[in-house]
Amino acid sequence: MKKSIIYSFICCIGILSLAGCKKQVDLLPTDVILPAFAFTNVNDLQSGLNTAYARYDGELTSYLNTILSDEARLGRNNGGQGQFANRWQYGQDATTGGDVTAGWLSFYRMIQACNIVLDNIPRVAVTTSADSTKKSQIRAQAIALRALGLFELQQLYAKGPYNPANLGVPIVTTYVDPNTLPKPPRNTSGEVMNQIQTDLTLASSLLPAVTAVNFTDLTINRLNITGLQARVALYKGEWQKAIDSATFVINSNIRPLVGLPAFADIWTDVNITSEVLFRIKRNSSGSSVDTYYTTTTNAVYFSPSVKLRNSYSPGDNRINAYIATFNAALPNNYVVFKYFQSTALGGRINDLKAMRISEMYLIRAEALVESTGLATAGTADLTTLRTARMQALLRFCYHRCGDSFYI
Amino acid sequence: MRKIILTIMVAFAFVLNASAQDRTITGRITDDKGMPVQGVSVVSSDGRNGTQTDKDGNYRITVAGNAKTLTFSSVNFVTRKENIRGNANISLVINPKTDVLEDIVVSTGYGRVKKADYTGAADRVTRATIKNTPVASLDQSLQGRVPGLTVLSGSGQPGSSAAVTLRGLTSITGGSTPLYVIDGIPVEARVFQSLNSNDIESLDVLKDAAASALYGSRGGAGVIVVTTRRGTGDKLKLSLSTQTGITMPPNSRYRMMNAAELLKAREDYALAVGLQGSSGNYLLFGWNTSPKNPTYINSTPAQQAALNKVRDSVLSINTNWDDVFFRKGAFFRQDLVLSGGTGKTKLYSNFGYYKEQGITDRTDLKRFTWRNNADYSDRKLTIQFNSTVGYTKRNFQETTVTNNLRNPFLASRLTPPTVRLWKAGFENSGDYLNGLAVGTGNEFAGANLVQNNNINKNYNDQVKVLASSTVNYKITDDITANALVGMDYRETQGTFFSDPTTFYNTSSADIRTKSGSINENLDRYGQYQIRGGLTYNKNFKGKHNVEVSGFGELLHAYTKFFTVTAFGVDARRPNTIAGTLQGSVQNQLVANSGGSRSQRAIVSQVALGKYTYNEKYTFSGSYRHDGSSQLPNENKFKNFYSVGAIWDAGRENFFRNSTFVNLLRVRGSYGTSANADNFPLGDFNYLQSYSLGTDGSGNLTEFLANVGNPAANWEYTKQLNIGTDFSIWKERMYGSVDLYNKETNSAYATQLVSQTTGVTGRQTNAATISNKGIELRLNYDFVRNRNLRLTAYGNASYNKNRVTDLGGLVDFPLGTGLITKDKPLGTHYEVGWAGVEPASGRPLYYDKNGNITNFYSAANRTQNWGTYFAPYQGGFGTKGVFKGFDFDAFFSFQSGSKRTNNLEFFVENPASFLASGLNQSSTMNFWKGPGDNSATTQSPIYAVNFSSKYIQDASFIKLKTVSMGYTIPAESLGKSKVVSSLRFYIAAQNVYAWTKWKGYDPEDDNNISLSEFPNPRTFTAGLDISF
Repeated sequence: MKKSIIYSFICCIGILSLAGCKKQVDLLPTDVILPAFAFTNVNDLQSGLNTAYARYDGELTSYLNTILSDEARLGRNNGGQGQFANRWQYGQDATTGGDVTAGWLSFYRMIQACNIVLDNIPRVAVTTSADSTKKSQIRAQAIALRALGLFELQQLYAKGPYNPANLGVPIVTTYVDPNTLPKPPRNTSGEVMNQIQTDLTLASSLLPAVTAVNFTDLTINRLNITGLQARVALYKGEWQKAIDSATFVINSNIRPLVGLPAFADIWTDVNITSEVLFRIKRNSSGSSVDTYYTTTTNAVYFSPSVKLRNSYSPGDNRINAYIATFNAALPNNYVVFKYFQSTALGGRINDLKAMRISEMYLIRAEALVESTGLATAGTADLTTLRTARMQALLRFCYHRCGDSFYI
Repeated sequence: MRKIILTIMVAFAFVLNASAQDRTITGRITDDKGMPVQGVSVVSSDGRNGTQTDKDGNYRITVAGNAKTLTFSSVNFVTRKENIRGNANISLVINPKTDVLEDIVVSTGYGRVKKADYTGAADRVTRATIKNTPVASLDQSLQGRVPGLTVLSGSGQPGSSAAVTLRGLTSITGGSTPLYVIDGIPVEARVFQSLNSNDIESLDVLKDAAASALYGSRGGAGVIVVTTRRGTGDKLKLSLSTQTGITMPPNSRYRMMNAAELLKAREDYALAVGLQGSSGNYLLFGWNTSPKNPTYINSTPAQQAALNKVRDSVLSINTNWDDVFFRKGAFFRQDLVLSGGTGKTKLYSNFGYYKEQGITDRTDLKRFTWRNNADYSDRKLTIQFNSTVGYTKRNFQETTVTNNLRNPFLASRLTPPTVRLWKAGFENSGDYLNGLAVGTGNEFAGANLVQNNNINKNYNDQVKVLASSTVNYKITDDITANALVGMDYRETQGTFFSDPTTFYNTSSADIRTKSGSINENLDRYGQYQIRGGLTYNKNFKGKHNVEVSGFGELLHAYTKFFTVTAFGVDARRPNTIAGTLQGSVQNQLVANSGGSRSQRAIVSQVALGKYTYNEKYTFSGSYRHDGSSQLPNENKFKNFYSVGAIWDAGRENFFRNSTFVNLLRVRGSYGTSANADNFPLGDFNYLQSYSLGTDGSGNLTEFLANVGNPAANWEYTKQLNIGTDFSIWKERMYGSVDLYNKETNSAYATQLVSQTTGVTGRQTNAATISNKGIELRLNYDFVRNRNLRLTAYGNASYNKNRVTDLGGLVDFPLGTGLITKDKPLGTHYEVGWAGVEPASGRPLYYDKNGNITNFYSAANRTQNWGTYFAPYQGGFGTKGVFKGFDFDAFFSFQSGSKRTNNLEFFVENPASFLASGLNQSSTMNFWKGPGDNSATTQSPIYAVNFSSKYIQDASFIKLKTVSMGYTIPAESLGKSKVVSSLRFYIAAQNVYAWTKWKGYDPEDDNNISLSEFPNPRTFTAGLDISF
């Protein structure tokens, strides 16, 4: 008895003291995916790419452009939301300049997701030709989304108008571990734009031609890449390229301009087959315009500015589609009606319309004016747009706006 | 230890081989209250003879003729040695131990060390202090009891644990909760609801490096060693302890408006914002019927009479929502203890029942605990078995700790008194489904919540098993082998049932919410520990005492959690997941599920050494080599050490004959430790990892969830402690003073990184946090004689907490604060409030430079508003014994704490809260017109923003406990001896708080009051009987 107890003790101590115990503390987590297992097949790559799509925060660009410009004024329930940006007051730290600096993180997060996919593509072996095609298309989409993210950054944070010698934003083309504390230098605007254009060209070349059958506005495809190229060319002042690209998209006639009832319904996602060339699906848990202007409890953070409202000439009924009076008892209580109506997604959530066909008409009109120097050069495109919208607007209001809300 | 000494004595006795005539001595041992003391060990000086006192305190011992003295010792009493001098009867009084006196030991979890040899700073809380405290979580009873130990209750929900911090906050993004060790095994912190505090013999609060280095990577936040009760006496004895009482809500300190005041306030509001005419809006009900309203003025007398009638009927409602939501709760507690032993074995068994109702509906706790401790000891072998099983059932409201109108502590403040709880005809019908005046809108908050409370359910069941066993075997006289095996296992199963019939659900637009739901979740924690070791202890030449120990140990902890919410409740089968529908695409009632699993392990080698010279000088040291699963390979194995010394100056010749100084010790320690249990990176966050989610189309997304930190390391704490223990004036005054300097290096801080990486920052070991402080404990026996003993006791501490270095990082935001060099943790970061502009009613603020501005901007936030974590805290009280009567009154306090009063933001907020129909405090004084100099709140046309106005002093002095008891003298219990002791008592907890704070409770575990469940006032009466 005694001896056995002593031996037990000695064994116990011996076992515990051995360096072999290292094994006991070599534990791995069960609930997360370690990098080695993160991307093992094409479906994983697709999931990574989906992240990049979901992270495209086009709403932020739209919101920032609105509140930085004269289009919006503080709403009566504004408790600080966007006030700094609205006043053009940018704090140096993250806590006081949030709205303006948010895009920096947001679009680099999108680029990070693209780069993680692109870094892992060579590591994923494929055996079937279907997988091989899919992999190549994932690569193309990731490259194009990266270009889109970079272009958003360039527009928000580089000095304009475009001059290739100006400083642009840092180009990041691979995942960089933040633990290495990288401090990438700013590239010139010329380098940034070249990177964007090279990426878009490459992406386009990897994708099949778009037909009415295979088109979907929910992914990057050759048509909306061409649309992006038009946008990029306009930014760079390459007028002919802009005209050509816009014309290509318009002439494809895959998403033609539509009249107002259909057009108005795209803002509530009732209509998802018109007008839109590139759309990101949103739901209640993702980022969305949702509460930027008016919350679900009808607190008005931003109203359309008086100047904007006054710029509609009498009789121009478009104002009724974009701007509404909310609770007439309170003075100047206007809301951004475009993002006001309840949607099937709940609250004021609706999908991001990242590119619409009307933009192509405007790009072409602007490029025509710039390239010809004639103020009337783009009139035809503008007239096309107006015809589509304004006449239809009246029809729209006669059949939709029966209540007194619309005068 | 005593056993070893005994053995040595026995050995000597044989050597001397005395052969004098044996004789018999008898006597009776009583305590300072005159009560007989059972189980006192009586040993002759030759060590050959020994016995114990019986339940009447009597003993009878036969000793050798040459025996000089008798030694009387018992666990809870000061050992006395009496010369025999030929006496045949030696009866004496033995005094309870006070914690500075000779025989007190400190339980370190790795053994017991005589206080005289212990080089660290340790405070002991004994059973006498915590027993019968009417709280279900034992940590709640520690407030103010130990200098340097901050105990703040974040919720008065029965069973909630407190936030316990020792010597200041030591981590920015991690926690500072001490390590709890119960009967040798570290246990899950802050989960004590299933443990019976009446089973506890003592809590040793080990504050400095002497203990924290012993626990190495886990000791950084201090260690609390809990020792449970063990069998005593020479035969089994049954004791019954019963306690019953009530819990009551504390004073909220905001008197809310009654109906008349609220209507007046609404009228003032309308006048201030310039409203004209009437409005169908109920919010402005007071205005619609106001004689100052132009519509009223222009009305016909008949119309005015009608409006008056409406006004009068509303005024007559005047619902008191406090009465609706709060109640007196019942409290009951019963312990049935079987304790005793014969010869080599001892047994302690307690079957306990505890029941406490909260001060608001649907909150309570019921608990069964069963503890069994057994001991075996012979000359070579000692074995201890410790086990407890606890089952707890708690009922909750949907929320009691958040800013939400479903929180009764907020709903009772904000629901206007102008609405009814019951529909007409249903008053007090008990028909919660159809009878309540529920509806959409703020004014229905009260009725909606009452309905929710009475129909829905939210509860959990917890089972906790704590079991450990220690074995010591003396291989030789000098060498002891020891082993410990223990486990801590806990399962909490929670249920939240949401009935489809409640208005909350019927009015929801969400199809799943509408259908009713039940959430079932299971949270499991399991941990085992094994330890083996050898101890060498030898005394050389009577002057040199050496003790060296080595241990190896392994600890492995597992956690598991899963949760499922099912929808489509069948009204006939409520409150069971069987009564829900299988979800499908068609019915859209797809269940939600989730969960997690994790684990961690630590392997360690520990070496301890202690050398004592001539019982005067002791030097100690410890070394620990810890391997942990929580760090990357390069930092997995780390070393921790401590050194210490203590000088028992009272034993020096120059004090030996002093009548003034009875005891004087000076001690110091220094060592290192880390804080694994509060580790900011948790179990595996040092690793880079990916997670899955879904996008707006429901497609799978995979994304980088955690960038990890391949160089992650512990947060190391180095601590120097210098202290003294003293006892003067015939032990009338005794206490201790400690000074410490604690520095936590490589504390995790957020390092902002270039966002071109796609992330904002990473967690890195960069910051240094300093805690320096002084602690004082003092007891004074005013009167000490046979009939009356009166003691004043108290302790106080000051801790200076600073972030002394950010390792080159820039200040970074954390919660509502900004972590800044040279500021204490918990410092508020807020815009300064400069009052109301009398001419315009505009709110005024201070900008960053201290200039007054009417422009509110978060950019103007400053850090001039103090910290929520009080630098000063402590407790004091007085206790006395007069014949059979005893009383004790104890106060706890903290000073220097500033907290944000979020409730005031709600109840003095005309622009948002009054205007949206909610009730306000009668203290609200908003600007009424030009020249209003006395207004404390701006005109209702200006929105209320958070500012320093709401950062208020949360210092307090609480009459924490007060008790009075009467112990029936042994003589009066009669000769029947059926009952051996009997005590009655009455006690109260959280009786009153002196504070400037407005709101329910100044005490909380965070920086902002979110209308958390306040600590109840509890009044109890009890009876302790031993048979």
